[in-house]
Amino acid sequence: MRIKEIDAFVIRAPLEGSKPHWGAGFWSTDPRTHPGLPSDHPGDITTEYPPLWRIRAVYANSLEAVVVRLETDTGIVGWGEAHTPVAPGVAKAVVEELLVPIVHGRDPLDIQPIWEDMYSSMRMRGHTSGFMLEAMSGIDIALWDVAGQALGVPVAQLMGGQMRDRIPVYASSLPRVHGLAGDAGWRGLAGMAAGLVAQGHRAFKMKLGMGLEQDRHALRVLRKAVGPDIRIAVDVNGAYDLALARQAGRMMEEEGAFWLEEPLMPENIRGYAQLAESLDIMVVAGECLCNRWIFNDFFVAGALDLINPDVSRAGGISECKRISDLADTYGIPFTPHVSIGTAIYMAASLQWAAAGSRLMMCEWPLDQHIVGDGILDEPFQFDQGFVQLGRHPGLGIKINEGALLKWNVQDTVVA
Amino acid sequence: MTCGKHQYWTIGDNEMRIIKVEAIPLSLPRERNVNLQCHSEDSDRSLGTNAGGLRSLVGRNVCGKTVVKIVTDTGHVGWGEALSAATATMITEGIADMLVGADPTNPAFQWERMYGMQWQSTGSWREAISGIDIALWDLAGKTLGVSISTLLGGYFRHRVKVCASGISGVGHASDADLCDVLEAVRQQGFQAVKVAGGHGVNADIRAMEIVRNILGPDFLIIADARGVYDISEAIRLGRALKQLGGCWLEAPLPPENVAGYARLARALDISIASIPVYNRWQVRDLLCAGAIDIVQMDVCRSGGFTECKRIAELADAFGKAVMLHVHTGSVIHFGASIHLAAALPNQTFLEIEYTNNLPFCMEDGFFRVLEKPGLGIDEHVFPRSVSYAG
Repeated sequence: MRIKEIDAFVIRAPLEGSKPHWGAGFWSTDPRTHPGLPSDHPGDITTEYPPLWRIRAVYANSLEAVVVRLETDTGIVGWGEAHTPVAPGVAKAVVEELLVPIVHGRDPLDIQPIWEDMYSSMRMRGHTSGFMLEAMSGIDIALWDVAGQALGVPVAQLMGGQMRDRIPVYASSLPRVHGLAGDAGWRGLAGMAAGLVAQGHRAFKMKLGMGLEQDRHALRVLRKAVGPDIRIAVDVNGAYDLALARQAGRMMEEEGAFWLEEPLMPENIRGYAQLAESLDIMVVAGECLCNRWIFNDFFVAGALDLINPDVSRAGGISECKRISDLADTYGIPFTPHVSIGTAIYMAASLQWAAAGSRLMMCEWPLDQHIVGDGILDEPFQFDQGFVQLGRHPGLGIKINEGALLKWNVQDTVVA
Repeated sequence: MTCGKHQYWTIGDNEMRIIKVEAIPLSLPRERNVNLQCHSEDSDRSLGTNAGGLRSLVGRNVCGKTVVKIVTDTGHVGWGEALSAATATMITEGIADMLVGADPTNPAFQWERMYGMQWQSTGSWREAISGIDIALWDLAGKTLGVSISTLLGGYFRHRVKVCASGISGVGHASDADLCDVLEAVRQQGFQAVKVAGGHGVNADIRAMEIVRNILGPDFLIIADARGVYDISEAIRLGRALKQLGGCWLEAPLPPENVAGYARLARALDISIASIPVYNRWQVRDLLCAGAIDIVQMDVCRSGGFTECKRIAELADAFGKAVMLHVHTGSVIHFGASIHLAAALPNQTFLEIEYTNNLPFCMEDGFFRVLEKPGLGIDEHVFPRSVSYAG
């Protein structure tokens, strides 16, 4: 069996789903504005560092992703996805100009040798994360999809063995509440949280990082709305410095939050180690970290209690399984990060979640957008906090190619 | 199909279940006396602080093994092997019942169940898990129609470099006898040799000099000190080995002395290899301490394919290589190690006891990788390579 054809498609679809969009409280295409917060003062954060503009990611106004389609000479078609919330044309170019010549004609069952060949192509030039790893992730996931279909089993089983066939998930995420929203804003938040619990969710994530008192108030509102048994994870997207993160962590311990995600800038390994040592609450990071070596540095430093790598960013199913196995050796569980993307990205995350020995739970984006269930013949099955692993060989899903590629755009540059 | 709270995947339209787990203890007579006792009382070892040969390995001229045979209701048979014959009792009395009725195609899941039964992370329990894990991977490969190397992620190489061991540096009737052994090793095609030392630093250095002289400058030479030295002795041996162009120094200190290994690693330029490790947590501690450069593991001791893959990946995350220990074993042990060696990016050598009766054909010091489903070993060859009394 050989890989005969490799195509990368830019997908640009409308953002739909929950209102307001869960990202709306944090980013926009205009890096000077911050729609979730008052323009003059971000909550009651009084420190100058880190200024919020240094952690503000740029997002597109549409859902953007790159999907990779592999076809073998035996007629098997496998799908992968690169997580590229902006500038998908870059990942597409990396696939087409750099990776296709490496992968074309290979035996798709040689997944690890192919991974190492892709990685080594730019390793000594410093391309060990970012678009390079996102593009590689797309190919790697497609290779696993091909392998599973070729052997007639789900990908999870090929990763050494499947540990579970339903995946505990958490709802992601409740948006930041505008500091000036007042009681109506808090009532809205409480209503959204209660709604999630009514749908069967046992855990969800809240975007905070607006300052200690506002964050505390948000957690109290949520706890009152959902009762004592629901896990409330908190994500602050690098909003704090070390001292403030310590204070926030203590506050969150008092308010019964489940984890504290990305309290610091992602480069600050030493800061994470100091924080993890001083806090009881789980300190979490990983969505922007790529490759096993970076994660290993965090582990050796004792810097994290839980990791959330992204299967379509950190190097695909291959690398994420290695990272979660490595984490397990240090006694650290994993929780796959799943953000904006298509059903392929979600399915790959679920397969990895099913195969890792120390899964906490998997992120479950609330936006059931048009390239989620909308491109599947059978939608994902959520029930009482769990998602059933799909039964189709490979990634477990059956993709409606027409419905997916309807959103393919040739012009990859936004005018 | 459900089993407890879990629902398992089946292969194709079959619902496969384990119906029988057999553990067959073997006593494999060694082909020749490899002088395994020579490092104890008869050693010319100088005085040291480490109790010397008293704390080294005890070798015997009969080698105990356990062959594992797992049978499914679909008629598939998976083969595995564990170190030591005593392991057979653990499997038949401790683990077999738990596996009967289970899905054989998810080795990592069964691995966690077996480990969770006892939480014994070393020793015979670990060896028992290793043997069963190998048999489960054999079954997974056979039922899916692909080799274990493919299931491990694919082939990094099409031949596997072999290192001859079981060659003692001392205890020969004369230097000429040692020369004869080394010549035979070279004639067989080996390009790498591991020399068993631990006979005293002076004796070890002298043996290494002979080995280098006989085998020439290009031969790869590994010195195994069998864990008998203290740090100052190990430093002296390591420096001499470096002068002689050795690859690395294996087990210079007793294995428990992690801090000592770290100190040695800082003092020496030459790489240091571990003994065959027990589990990945041990490897994590060694690597975090900066104690070793080469992680040696044995698929029949260290936890089977499931754990050895994780160990290799852990080593790789620290930029370290692995070496696979086989030494003596049946064709299953050899075959399993060849599959693993083919599929690991950071693999170096596969170590086997030097013998004229290799179960696989060696070409220029390499074994060809195996490509048939599962272990890819024809069962009819078993009687020729193991005393199979099942």
